Amino acid sequence: MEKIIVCYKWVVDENDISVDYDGNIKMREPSYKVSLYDRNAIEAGTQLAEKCGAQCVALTAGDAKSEKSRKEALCAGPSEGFAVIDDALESADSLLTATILSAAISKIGDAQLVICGEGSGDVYAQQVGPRIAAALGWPLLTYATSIEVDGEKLRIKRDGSEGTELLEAVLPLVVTVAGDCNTPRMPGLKDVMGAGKKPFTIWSPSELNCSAEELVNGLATMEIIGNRPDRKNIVIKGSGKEAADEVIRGLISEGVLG
Amino acid sequence: MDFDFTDEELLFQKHLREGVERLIAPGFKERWHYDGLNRDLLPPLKELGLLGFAWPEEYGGQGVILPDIMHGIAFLELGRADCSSSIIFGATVECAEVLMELGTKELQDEWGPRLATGEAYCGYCFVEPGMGTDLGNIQTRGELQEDGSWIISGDKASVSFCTSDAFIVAVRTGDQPGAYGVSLFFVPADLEGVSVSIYEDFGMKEIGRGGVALRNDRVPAKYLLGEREGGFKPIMHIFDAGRPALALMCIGAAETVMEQCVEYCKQREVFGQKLSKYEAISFGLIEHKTKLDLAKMMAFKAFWLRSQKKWNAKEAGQAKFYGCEAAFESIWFCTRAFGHLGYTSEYDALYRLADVMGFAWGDGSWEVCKMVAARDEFGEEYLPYTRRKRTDAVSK
Repeated sequence: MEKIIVCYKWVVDENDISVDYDGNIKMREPSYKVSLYDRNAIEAGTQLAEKCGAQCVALTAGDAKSEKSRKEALCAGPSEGFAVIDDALESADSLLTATILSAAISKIGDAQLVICGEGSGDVYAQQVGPRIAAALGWPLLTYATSIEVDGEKLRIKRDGSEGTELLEAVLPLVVTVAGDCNTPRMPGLKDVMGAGKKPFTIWSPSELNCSAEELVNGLATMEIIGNRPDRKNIVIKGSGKEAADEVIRGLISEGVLG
Repeated sequence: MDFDFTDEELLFQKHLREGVERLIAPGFKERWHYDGLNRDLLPPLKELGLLGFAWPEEYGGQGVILPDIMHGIAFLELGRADCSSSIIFGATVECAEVLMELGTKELQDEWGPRLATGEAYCGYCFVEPGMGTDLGNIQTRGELQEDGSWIISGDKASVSFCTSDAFIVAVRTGDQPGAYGVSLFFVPADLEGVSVSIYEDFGMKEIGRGGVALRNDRVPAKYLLGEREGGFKPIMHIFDAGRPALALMCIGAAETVMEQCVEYCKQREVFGQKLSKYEAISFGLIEHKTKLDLAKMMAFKAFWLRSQKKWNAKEAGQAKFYGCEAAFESIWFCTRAFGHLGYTSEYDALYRLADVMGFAWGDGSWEVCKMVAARDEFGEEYLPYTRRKRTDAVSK
């Protein structure tokens, strides 16, 4: 395997999001970060590249803010980065994002493996990885909790409520990784200081032969509201077994205990 | 003027905060009761990429000097979780820089690989009983022997990391007055004549403060650090980074308690409304937050001056006394806002208060810091003593 491409999204740090009493989302000068599960994708790609002697390349698409992702993505391991930047990609839906990313993957060339997070930290639609596979015409393995390369084959484990599945496919292919696939490494000082020196190429959609007509969202976001659950504030008075029984009855009636 | 960190500094802080929350914050209260240098903190510090600065890669070090602003960031972020981890980290950096700059090649080869990886730990012994921060009054004596070795005798007090594997020790080696007669030595803890006693401190127990007695230790010539009687400047160089670092560590601890307190006051209801609605709480919190923010800026200014190779003793002193005091007062306010819960072991406010209190004197008392700052701001007339002059006579 020569090249692994890891895809990531530059999202608002959820720690900077709050919900007011009316359910409105509040973000005052939010900071941005590489989306949570995409960090697992970057770590998985970096580990595989180290093991196979391949090159790990990071790729993103978004508006101008995404250019700021460069050092954060590259300090985590990839040796090179690419970004497709256009204002039309500010709130791109999964299809548009996948269209752009798959065009970029083809332009980068020589990739045998594309790794994505299972879903983004903001929208969590879980569609970009599968749609890239569809656009490239490659096989797809999803929700990997571990990845292993064996020559031209790639095996993953997928943990589910019924047990663990072992899946295998032939390269080239697309894999999406689950959050428990790995623990992203702590970049050292040298990684942080060296990230800005790694090559990072910025393309516009037109350089990928994507026309203005293609840069249109199929989905429109009507409104984003926060979920602020009302507390029931149930107070159980008394003490000892009587109060404990009451707590258990309450938990059963709420469906917490079966 | 730019108040922002660089991209690299922000990244360093972002990763560190995440890593510290995962690796250092859990178990803070359980560890707090530890007595002696807690070496269990060294593996997580290594995983955080915080060990091995200043040591070359051939020794297992990182081969890079930690930039000053990042030094401050590391103290702040570690302080948010556990002040002891800040200090344990900080001493590795300071000792490495001193040993790489002043140590003989033989000493570096012998100890570098173990110190760079956290396998061994080096503390420093400057303070003595009855001396406090007056480092010009060091009484521990070193006598040069015919074979080039030194016989060192004296008592060191309030030594952080007194259960270390080795110490950097300040020793009077000649007749020069005050600070001019002080040399630095590297002294392995297992050298014959070295004995240690641990104090029962009320905070920062994981750094194991105590006393170190040196009784006719024979220290080989290879362990003299730098020039004979040139030891005072390196000590001051350590303090000029240590003081704003300690301020940031205390500010980090105070930020953690304040964040807990802000959430608590949003939930806690008294006399029919949330605590957060009372101005006694909201005004108090914002006043203390303001002082913490000001102190943080002062501390980072001290680091910035150092990074520009500019004199920073005044700002370092200001940051230390103002920052540590602001942190202490902030935690104390929050402790009271928690009500009785703040006085229980369920909350960690009092643990952190006890930790921060230790820096009313550690690395220079608040008063000494004010003295230094007043000297630099208003002139030598504001020093309570007359500076001693170096004599021409060369000590033998």
